[in-house]
Amino acid sequence: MSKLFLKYYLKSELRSKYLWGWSIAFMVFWLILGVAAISQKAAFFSTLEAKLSYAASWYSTVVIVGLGSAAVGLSYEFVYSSIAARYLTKYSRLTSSKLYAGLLVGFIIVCIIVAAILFTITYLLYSWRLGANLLPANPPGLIAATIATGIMLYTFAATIMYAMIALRKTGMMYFAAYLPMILALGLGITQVYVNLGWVIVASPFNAAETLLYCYYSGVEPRLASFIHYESGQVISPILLWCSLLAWTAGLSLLAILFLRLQKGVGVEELRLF
Amino acid sequence: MPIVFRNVTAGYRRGITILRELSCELTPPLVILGPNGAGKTTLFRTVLGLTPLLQGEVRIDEYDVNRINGVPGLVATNLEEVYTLLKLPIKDLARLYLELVGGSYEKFLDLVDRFNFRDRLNRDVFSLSAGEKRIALNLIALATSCRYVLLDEPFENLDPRMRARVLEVILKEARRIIMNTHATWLLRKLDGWKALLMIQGRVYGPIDATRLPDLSIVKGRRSDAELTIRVDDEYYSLVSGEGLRISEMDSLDRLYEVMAGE
Repeated sequence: MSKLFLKYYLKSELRSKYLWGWSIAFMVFWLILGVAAISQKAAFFSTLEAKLSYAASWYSTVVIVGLGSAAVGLSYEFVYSSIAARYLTKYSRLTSSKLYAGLLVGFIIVCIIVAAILFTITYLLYSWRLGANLLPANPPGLIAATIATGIMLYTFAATIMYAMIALRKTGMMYFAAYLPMILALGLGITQVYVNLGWVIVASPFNAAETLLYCYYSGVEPRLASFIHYESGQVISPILLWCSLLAWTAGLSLLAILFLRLQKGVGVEELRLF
Repeated sequence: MPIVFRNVTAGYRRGITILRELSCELTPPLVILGPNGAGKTTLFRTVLGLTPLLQGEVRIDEYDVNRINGVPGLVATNLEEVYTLLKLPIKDLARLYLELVGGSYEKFLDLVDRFNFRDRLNRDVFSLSAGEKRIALNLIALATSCRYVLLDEPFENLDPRMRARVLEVILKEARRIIMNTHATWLLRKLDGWKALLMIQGRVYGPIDATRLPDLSIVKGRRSDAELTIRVDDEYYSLVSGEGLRISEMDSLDRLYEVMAGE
């Protein structure tokens, strides 16, 4: 991995208005909505567990959607870097493996920064509003789940964009780049209100969201919506981890396959994107 | 050793070929002249690995372009698409590329000062005007220590004062420069340079660059022609003496007008 590339990737991402707008500001707006809704359910928050569970449900949802939004920027990076990378991997010290390792490590760091900011705001806002110290029940689990979510989203974005390049569906790239955010938003918000059953295990977005929720709140994973959580069937967290890791491994293989299949799309074709 | 094209067909995979069975050698200092759409930029993109090679072979010194991998210090360029790796201010982009490709950031800053460009260093490439962008990317390419520097239309969108400054730097670095342009104003200043004419994906020459301004284009194949070119199915000769001189055309884009008026 090129340290210089990593340094400038982070600088480029952390200067991105898109990242600060969609992954942070928009998610903070959601967190504020969650705080505003507390007054309507005051009776519900009689125990520390209920308070922690409420904060955890908002945190896990905004993290999955916020990181999904960050993955949109990553998708663009895959496309644009694929042009420059063709030159740089031939005529510079930056090899393909260094480039993609740099993007992976860089994106994980971006995910940790986004999650850390969202955590700090969640903690301060909800602790203040609910009058309790709402520190997460399992911080190492929360960090591990954040990193695993980042890696899964990286492989997801890479697979989608390399597939578009390999199949030369350049006209669809704009839509494809937004897929991580669309899925994260759709599946993430749905899980708050709807019992998705085994989709919670099968979908990497929901598996990640459930892990984040459980590590923050300290409750066992269940096949349930967040608002009727106690009614759901208890499942092992190992199932959720297996799902997340299986998706990551499968998507990695697909990304490598598409990377090998793609023989280069002309610059003019990519400009249509 | 030059950059050698052997029977090269290159273009886009949707059946659009820009270069067809092209064979030529590019040895610096060299200027490739041709109207817009002649294939000059595609020629460079093929060397840089940006345009897929559909047939034939391109070699740079001992390297096959299709197989080359991780060789810094060989080829630099001012083509914008090469600088799309990250969205960064010019100063960071220059530092990153010069470190990766091989070059001197101090030399870049020295060039920046000569162009009074310091106040733009904190801006993204994408936020610069077309002329500023051209200067910034020219300076990064010229600050590399690469054996070959491919400059695509280095004078495009520049005011006359900046054009003269860019030419001054290019002339100092001549031994490693291959540039393309449709402008003719600079030809008399390219003493010791060779020129290739490029029209409709075909290359003609080489010829002394300073000789070109005095040549005129006439229709048909002439025995006294210094170069004979083919446009569509018609032949044209570059001869001295009669007809419209190349120096009288500001840009080779007028070539088609001249031919249509014959």
